[in-house]
Amino acid sequence: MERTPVMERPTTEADGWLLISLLVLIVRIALGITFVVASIDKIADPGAFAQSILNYKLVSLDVALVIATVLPWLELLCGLGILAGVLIRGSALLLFVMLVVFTALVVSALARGLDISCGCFTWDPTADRIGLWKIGENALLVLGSVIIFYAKSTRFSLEHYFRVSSSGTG
Amino acid sequence: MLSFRVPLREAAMLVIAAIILGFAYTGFTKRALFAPPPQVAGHSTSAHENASPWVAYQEARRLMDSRAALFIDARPEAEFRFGHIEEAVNIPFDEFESKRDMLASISRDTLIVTYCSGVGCDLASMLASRLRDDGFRNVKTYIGGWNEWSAHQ
Repeated sequence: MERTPVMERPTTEADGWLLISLLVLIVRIALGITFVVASIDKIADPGAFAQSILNYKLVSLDVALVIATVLPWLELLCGLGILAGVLIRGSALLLFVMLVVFTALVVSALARGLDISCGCFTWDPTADRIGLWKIGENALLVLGSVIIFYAKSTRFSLEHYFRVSSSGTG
Repeated sequence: MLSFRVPLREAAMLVIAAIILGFAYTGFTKRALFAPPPQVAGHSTSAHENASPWVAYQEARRLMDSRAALFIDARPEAEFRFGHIEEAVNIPFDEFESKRDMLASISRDTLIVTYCSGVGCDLASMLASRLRDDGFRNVKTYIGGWNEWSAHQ
């Protein structure tokens, strides 16, 4: 009796690589959306965001205004960068640095007994109060930025698309 | 070993782009850093216990609760009608000349707190400057303004 040939899946390594690429993409989407959303309210009213910064009682009004002028745009660009897959590792590096600084500020404010709004996602002083959970949330985001920075896969990104296009035509 | 050279270069590009965009946007919309600064010149406030021309939320709340200050809303009447600090009177900066009479009976030593929308708004600090020019010796500006105040309600 003739045996029916069994079809074996030939590329388990490729499947694993695709899975990793998808996981990295999910992390990129989560972190990218988080930072884009976080930037919108601050860009809309940088003055109010400056007040949130002043609440930490670490910088003068002028310094707070400079930070409020630049930081939301940096968050937006980095968020869009890792979402679209442009300057991915530079964006991830900046997000890592920002998140570490934000976390240090929250820890510092908690240590000084300040009961203030985080100023992370909105300048609204009644929303997003600082607390220990905020440190945990930031730790997850830091982990996300590290994963993106060290990920070898840049599949599903504009960088990957342009690299493939240029190598295909060149 | 992963090189940091390319990511650092990318990060520098992003920082420069953010600086250009941020300053261009706030400069164009005249907000935050580019809002006209308060002008305290002309009348020294050094004689007072707290010489700062700024008032934060806690201090504004205390002054309002104790009725220790006259609050003046410098925003246009339409915005005032949508909501304002209780007991505040509305003297829109643009209508200061026509509404100046409202202050005729007020002592020049009265503590006055001006406010508008928030930090990015300059009407309150400009109105405060006009009031000082008019001889009011104790004028402060609540920098959080209506945005911060209403958020606390």
